[in-house]
Amino acid sequence: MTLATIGFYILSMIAIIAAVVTVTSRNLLYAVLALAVASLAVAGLMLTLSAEFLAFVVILVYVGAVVVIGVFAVMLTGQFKKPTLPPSNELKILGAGVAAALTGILIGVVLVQPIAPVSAAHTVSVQQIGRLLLTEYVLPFELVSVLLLAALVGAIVIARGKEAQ
Amino acid sequence: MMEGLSMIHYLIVSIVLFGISLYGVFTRRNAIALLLAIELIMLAVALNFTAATYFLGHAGGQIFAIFIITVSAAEAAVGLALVIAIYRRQKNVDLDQLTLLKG
Repeated sequence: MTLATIGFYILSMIAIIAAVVTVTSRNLLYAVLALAVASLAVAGLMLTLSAEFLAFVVILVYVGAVVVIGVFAVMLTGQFKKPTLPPSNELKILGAGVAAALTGILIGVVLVQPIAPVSAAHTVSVQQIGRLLLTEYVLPFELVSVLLLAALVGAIVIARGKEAQ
Repeated sequence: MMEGLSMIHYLIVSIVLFGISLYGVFTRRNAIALLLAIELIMLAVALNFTAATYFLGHAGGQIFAIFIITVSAAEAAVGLALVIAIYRRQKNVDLDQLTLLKG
């Protein structure tokens, strides 16, 4: 057991437990904070994959932006006072069944499908990512920039309400 | 350095995370909780792409993980803005009470 292997199992456990708390917690604030824990654990998993840049992007965007926006939404809608409504019972069983079936099918496919054995671990440096983003992937990069701008403007227009206009 | 782990380990973790958040998408009634589950799905997929880069050696996986994270941030911003707009109008954000378009 190397350090990376031990780290993988611990971080996977943390991520899965935090994900369960995120989707089942009756208190919405706990769910948002559990998402932060899950994001940190996934960032750690990315570190074990030598994807340092991506790990810090995940921490920055998820813990730094998504979770903070989530906390603001919880506060602004007053959801922290009462626990969230429980899901209806038949939907709970059906939803769990469908999700478990899909998970089982996907895991089965992964286990059956032969994956090419790895000759060596491949790491991508930040320099390579930057160069690829501005050469080979420049079109999706620009599109995603426009998407971000549209989301920024859209979020402000939607959330500010009538009285501010 | 990674003798104990293969791509399958990472794929299974990301599939389990995906399945858990899919259950959240099916069962959550609160709009904010639903958005959190969707964010978790995006996170699981980004992990999947990163594992593909590491084990299969194509840098496109990490690039598209970055795009996925960007899109999920944009989606969170717009989604939560919509939640706030709905709350201002209806004073709750329970999805099964959003019947404004029902004739």
